[in-house]
Amino acid sequence: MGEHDIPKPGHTDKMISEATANSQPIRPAPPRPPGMRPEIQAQIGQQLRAVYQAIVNEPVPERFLRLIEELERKKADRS
Amino acid sequence: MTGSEAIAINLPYLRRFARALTGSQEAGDAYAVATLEAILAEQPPTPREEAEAATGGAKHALFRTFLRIWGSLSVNRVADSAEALAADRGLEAMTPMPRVAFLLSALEGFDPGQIATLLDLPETEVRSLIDRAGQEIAAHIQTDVLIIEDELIIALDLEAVVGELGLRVSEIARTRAEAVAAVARQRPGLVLADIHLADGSSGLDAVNDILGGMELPVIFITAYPERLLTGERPEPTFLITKPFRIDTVKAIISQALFFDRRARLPRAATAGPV
Repeated sequence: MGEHDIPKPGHTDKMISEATANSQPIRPAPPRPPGMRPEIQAQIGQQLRAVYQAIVNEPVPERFLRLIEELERKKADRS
Repeated sequence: MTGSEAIAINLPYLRRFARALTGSQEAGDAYAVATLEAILAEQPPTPREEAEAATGGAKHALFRTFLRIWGSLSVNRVADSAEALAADRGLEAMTPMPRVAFLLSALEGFDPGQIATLLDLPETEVRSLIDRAGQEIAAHIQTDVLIIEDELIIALDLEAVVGELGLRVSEIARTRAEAVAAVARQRPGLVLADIHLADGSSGLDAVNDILGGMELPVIFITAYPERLLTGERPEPTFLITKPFRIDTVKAIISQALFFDRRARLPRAATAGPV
């Protein structure tokens, strides 16, 4: 009668769980995505200033003037 | 100059920034009003706050209060259709913090150190927000580019520049006929065109052919600008003279796409038969 090595139940399961635990794949750093450097952004900013120039030039709306007057009054009251 | 005078002087810039940030003058002004009301409700500034305001400047102090309110209050970004500028679409495509950092830096001229104090963030974080802004703009203007250029070296230079902005070159055409055929195969979102082509054909004619069927931004890159200036040219057109600087090409491509400046045929050309 031949002898056979029969592994005990549960043995292989343990091996697998140990092998997969805490494994962290090592990935190379992703390539830097293309972008616009600050100098190029500044050029877009310059164009934006032209687009919004009208806002800077237009008279300040009434409700802002009232708030600024209120600030003046409040400051005068304090001093 | 009193504090309220300083606020009055800087208010137009705050309204501009608020308009750009929120996408509409109405929403922007709502934040600006809330900012002034907050200043009005504030206790008199402590000596430390006054010293800070003196070093940072009145514009800095005003923007700092604004940003505190913008961060704490949610006014919906409603696109005002009358003011639906392409700029708004470009800015809307950005996530909030990179958009704020971009506008403070590129529109309002604050340096990264000042932005760090405005946003209560470390300067390294501000720099990475500005980097992110650059990446988000690049992603927004992502499109296919047709290069019409008969000199291979220049065409390859342009292809590299376009690639650095994250754009793809769909084709390099060397003649008017090749350009028209390339557009029939794949519709580009931007054309970079030389004017004087090798077989004697004209890049300007090629562009006019293309614009007969669509409107898209066009940038002419030529050593012979007079041929463009005297000819029937589409509007608006961008002109870069050879030899060009790579940064100039990048800046003009970015502007043409960010502001979606699509060229149309001149009126004389559209009125008559083609």
